[in-house]
Amino acid sequence: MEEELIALEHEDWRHFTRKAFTNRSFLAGALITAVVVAVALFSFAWTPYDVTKLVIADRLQSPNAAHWFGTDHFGRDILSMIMVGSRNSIAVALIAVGIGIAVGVPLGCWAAAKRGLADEVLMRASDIVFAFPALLSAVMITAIFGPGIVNAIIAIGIFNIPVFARVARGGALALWPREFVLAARASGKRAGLITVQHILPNIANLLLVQGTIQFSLGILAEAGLSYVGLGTQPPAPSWGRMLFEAQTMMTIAPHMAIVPGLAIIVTVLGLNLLGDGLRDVLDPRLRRQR
Amino acid sequence: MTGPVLEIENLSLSIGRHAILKDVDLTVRAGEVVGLVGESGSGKSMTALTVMGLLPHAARTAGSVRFIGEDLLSATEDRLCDLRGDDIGMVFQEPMTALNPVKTIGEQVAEGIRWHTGANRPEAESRARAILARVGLPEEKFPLSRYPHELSGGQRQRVVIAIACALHPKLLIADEPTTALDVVLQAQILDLLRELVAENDMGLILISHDLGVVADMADRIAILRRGEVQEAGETASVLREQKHPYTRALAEASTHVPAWANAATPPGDEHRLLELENVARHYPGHRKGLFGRGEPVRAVDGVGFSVRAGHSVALVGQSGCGKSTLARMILALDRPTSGKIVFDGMETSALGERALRPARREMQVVFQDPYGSFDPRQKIETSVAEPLHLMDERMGRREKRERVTEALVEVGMTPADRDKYPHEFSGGQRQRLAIARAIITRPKLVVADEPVSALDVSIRAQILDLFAKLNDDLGLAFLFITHDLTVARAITHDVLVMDHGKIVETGKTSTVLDHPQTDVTRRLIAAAPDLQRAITRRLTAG
Repeated sequence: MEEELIALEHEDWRHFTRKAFTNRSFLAGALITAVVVAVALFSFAWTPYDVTKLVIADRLQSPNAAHWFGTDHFGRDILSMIMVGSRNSIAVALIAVGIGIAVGVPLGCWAAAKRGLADEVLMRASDIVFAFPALLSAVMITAIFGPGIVNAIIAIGIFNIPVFARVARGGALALWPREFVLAARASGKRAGLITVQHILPNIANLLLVQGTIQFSLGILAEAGLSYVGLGTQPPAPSWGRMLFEAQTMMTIAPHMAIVPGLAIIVTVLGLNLLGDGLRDVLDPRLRRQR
Repeated sequence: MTGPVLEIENLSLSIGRHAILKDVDLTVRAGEVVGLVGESGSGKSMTALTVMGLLPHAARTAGSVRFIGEDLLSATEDRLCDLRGDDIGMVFQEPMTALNPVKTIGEQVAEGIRWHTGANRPEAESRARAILARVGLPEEKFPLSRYPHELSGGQRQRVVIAIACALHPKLLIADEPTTALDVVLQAQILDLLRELVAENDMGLILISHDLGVVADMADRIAILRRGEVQEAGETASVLREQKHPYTRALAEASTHVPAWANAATPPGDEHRLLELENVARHYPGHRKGLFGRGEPVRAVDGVGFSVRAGHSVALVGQSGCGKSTLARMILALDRPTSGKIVFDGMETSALGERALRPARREMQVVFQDPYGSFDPRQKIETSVAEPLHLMDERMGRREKRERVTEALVEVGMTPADRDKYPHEFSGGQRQRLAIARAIITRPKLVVADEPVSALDVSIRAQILDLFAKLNDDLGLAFLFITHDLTVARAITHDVLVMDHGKIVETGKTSTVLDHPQTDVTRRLIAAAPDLQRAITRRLTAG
């Protein structure tokens, strides 16, 4: 039994791909995420219309052949805005996840290696950060330092730090008493080197899964901040801002709200499916229960 | 003799394309102990799971399994649920995971009683109390409100047995019930099982890889290999006559003593390689209230001994006696609370990590668990080369590769194994690889923590041979930490007996084991399963 479990623990790449291709939520999530990312990249090269140009004559059109998703109250093409807006969403969420990983993972690993006071202080600090509602504090940070995309990224990123610190610490704590880590210590390797060579590769799975989850939360947070006017600033289009602008037009042009709303839902759903799928594919224990 | 409780006829089992069992026949009568012996992968556990109806979904079976005349293979899940835990009980190997950590032992024993008999809570509890007292956990010392983590391994296994036997099953299946326990606890648990069989007229299937244990316990024995019964019959005659070559091979492997040139005369000069002076390691006691703490736990308590160069020394004792803590301090993975450890002229217990490097180069370690000893994500070459980190001059890739190859060949592996991952190897092979890693820096001392206790007997014999060869060829000193006296006898010059954090007896291995001076040693020796002794006793008794 034990043997079987451990054999599953180190799947090679071939096994991984086979598992991945038979896991429906992974496939669906990966597909949606790939489409969203492709659309965002594609928007740099081409969009159906110029999103900075206002064509008042075409305003508030319902979806039609010329404007697939309709136009807004300034006559801008909503499909083009969605495409360009996805850049912001993805960029903000991705960089925020990057901040979380870059700061949180080393902190978590350090706490696990040191234990004792360092660990205690770090975990209590992360408790404090957790105690604030994330979005509310992001609003507070952007309100103090001024609205804008950079501050939004920093605000969201700060809340990713303790999340990744905890995941990394938890994974690392489970690995430190393992015999292969003891063997590395008996080989005179310092905690830092052991972390790089043994701990990180073995917690990469955990971090990857958490990364996709935080990514989707980041998209939501960016939309939320932009909605209240603290994220992406006009004229740059953003899904959250589009929702805000649609608010007053709800009765006459519901597509203005529905389209960006759907964009957010589909993207977050895709990322969550991807995260769930990844976890199932990568975690042998969960897979055994299926 | 009464009729059979369990009759297995022509049982075949396959999972997917893999044939697991082929035409297995086995009969268990009431009041009888049947030993099922085999090495890992022989299908012992699968046989047990078939009887319990706990096979994975993909499994397909053929043949028949009859429990007091009732066919179990075609029984419905509902019917099996009624039987399991009521008429058929099961004891698992790992007492740490067989119990639910968030429920008290009382709840866990009473649960089955209530479920199967419909007894009310007080009634079930009083029955739970009685059975727990019967298995050696009387309520005065072990109230029902204890949680599993408050008990030791042996005590937990008693709870598992209590759960399995609470409803006086007609058949008990014990799958390696004592493998995770030390010899003294093993003997106690086996005694308990024997008594329960006699009291309740149960049939017992005892699954084990240890011929000594089975010879001691079983009336009849079946030897399983690759899913087929190789030989079956009365224990005494099967093991005395050893007609079947595989039976003979197993018996030889389990009493194997390696050919060891240095057995009588240890190599090397007589200088003291490792010296411990009054070494102690205390852990802070349990918290009692906000500020108070209980008495500190003295895991190691004033230990002093020395290991001379080229000598092989066994450190034996029951689990929890402090052996492993001591080993970690010797390896400088943990620091003593007080006392002094001097290795090769360096006081390692006082040095910082950087200053320890020369000492670390000269001492390496082999762990018990061949699965946990390697980083699953690193190739063997990287893992085996790890101690080369300790060399003063930086090594090139090519030179490292050469050293790895050399070490692999020395332990009987091939250069091609460098590029594989740990999961591609069996337990025995991994233990060889772990030894390769331990000798790659050409150390003077290797500390081996239960290096063969997780291995099958035939593999174990090979690994013991390897240790003997390494002592002969390289003049390596060994410190074997073990609860298995046959290992000590086979491969060490001197022995240290440890109990409750203290060394209680030392001397030449043969002298100490043949003429023990302390009760601790005598208890260890008496508890150790001994194939020859068991056969002799069976013959004289029968």
